[in-house]
Amino acid sequence: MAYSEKVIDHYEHPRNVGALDKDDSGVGTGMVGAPACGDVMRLQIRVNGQGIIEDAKFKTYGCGSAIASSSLVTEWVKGKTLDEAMAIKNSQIAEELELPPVKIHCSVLAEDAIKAAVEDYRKKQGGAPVAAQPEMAGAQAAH
Amino acid sequence: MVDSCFRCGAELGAPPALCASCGAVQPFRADLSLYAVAGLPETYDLDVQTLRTQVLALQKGLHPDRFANAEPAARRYSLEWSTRLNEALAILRDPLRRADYLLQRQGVDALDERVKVADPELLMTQMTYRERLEDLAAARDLSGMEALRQEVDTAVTGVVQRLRGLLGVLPCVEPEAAGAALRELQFLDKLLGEIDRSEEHLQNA
Repeated sequence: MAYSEKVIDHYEHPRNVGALDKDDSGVGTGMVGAPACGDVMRLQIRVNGQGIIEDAKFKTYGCGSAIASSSLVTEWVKGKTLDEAMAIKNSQIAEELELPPVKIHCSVLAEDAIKAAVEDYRKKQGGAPVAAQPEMAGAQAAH
Repeated sequence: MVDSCFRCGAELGAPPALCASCGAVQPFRADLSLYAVAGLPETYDLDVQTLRTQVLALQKGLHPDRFANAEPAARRYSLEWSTRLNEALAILRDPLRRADYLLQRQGVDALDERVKVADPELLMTQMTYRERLEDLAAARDLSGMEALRQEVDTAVTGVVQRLRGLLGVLPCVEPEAAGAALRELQFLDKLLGEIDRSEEHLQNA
């Protein structure tokens, strides 16, 4: 399979691999999986008092595209607000990494992971904004 | 439904592939399920040895070599039946692919690539397995990998057992639960493939 140079770069030099303390109240953890490929992805964010994502880590077991997608997302979300992070679309990830159509679902996984991480953080903070709920409901309905 | 031989009109058995009376290979029937092609009842709880014996016996009678000098239509039919029998053996012998096939038959595509899993417990378990494998590979610990494989095999047995219950009556009345079990099995199957690869890598290094 022909990976783009950007995918290979992220695959060989993944950014922000690792873990944050999932029990920390300032950390949001998103875990998603794609059974078709057996991919498992964990994406975590640390949010500061101003609601800005100041750190992000990921761990992905899967193909090069899934690793590159999550690596790219951790780079993108740093310095962003939660709403900005929620606005990241898989099409932007796919475009940046020049993913072929058969690998688009890897970018969808990364989008789901960051959304799940923001959701988890918001839930920990107690007041999950109403607007965020339907997206999770939509993601669940896809089962 | 009773099928009859297109040539002599005699009643055909199951599968309706070869006439026991005149020996004519019958036109291929693409409408038959993999079970029907193998002449077996449609059940999840299937004895793989019976399946293999049955398919091999049918293959013997339908093998294209037997029809090498036959008319073109018969040659084509035998090839089509043979190919489909190979497919039946490959899919039905595998608990994962067999469950997927049965669910697909009732319109449930549990392993569609767009289907995603958000079950935190399942994902956490899978993540932990993967992390352990990674650590074992880094430590070049082959016996640890074997222990992990046995653990995963046990987990596979458990899920297949669950699928046996869920697919005991067909069509399945709990397709959601069966789909979830199938997805878990798929994760475990991929994991076993990763364990194979890691072991090979260590042995060849």
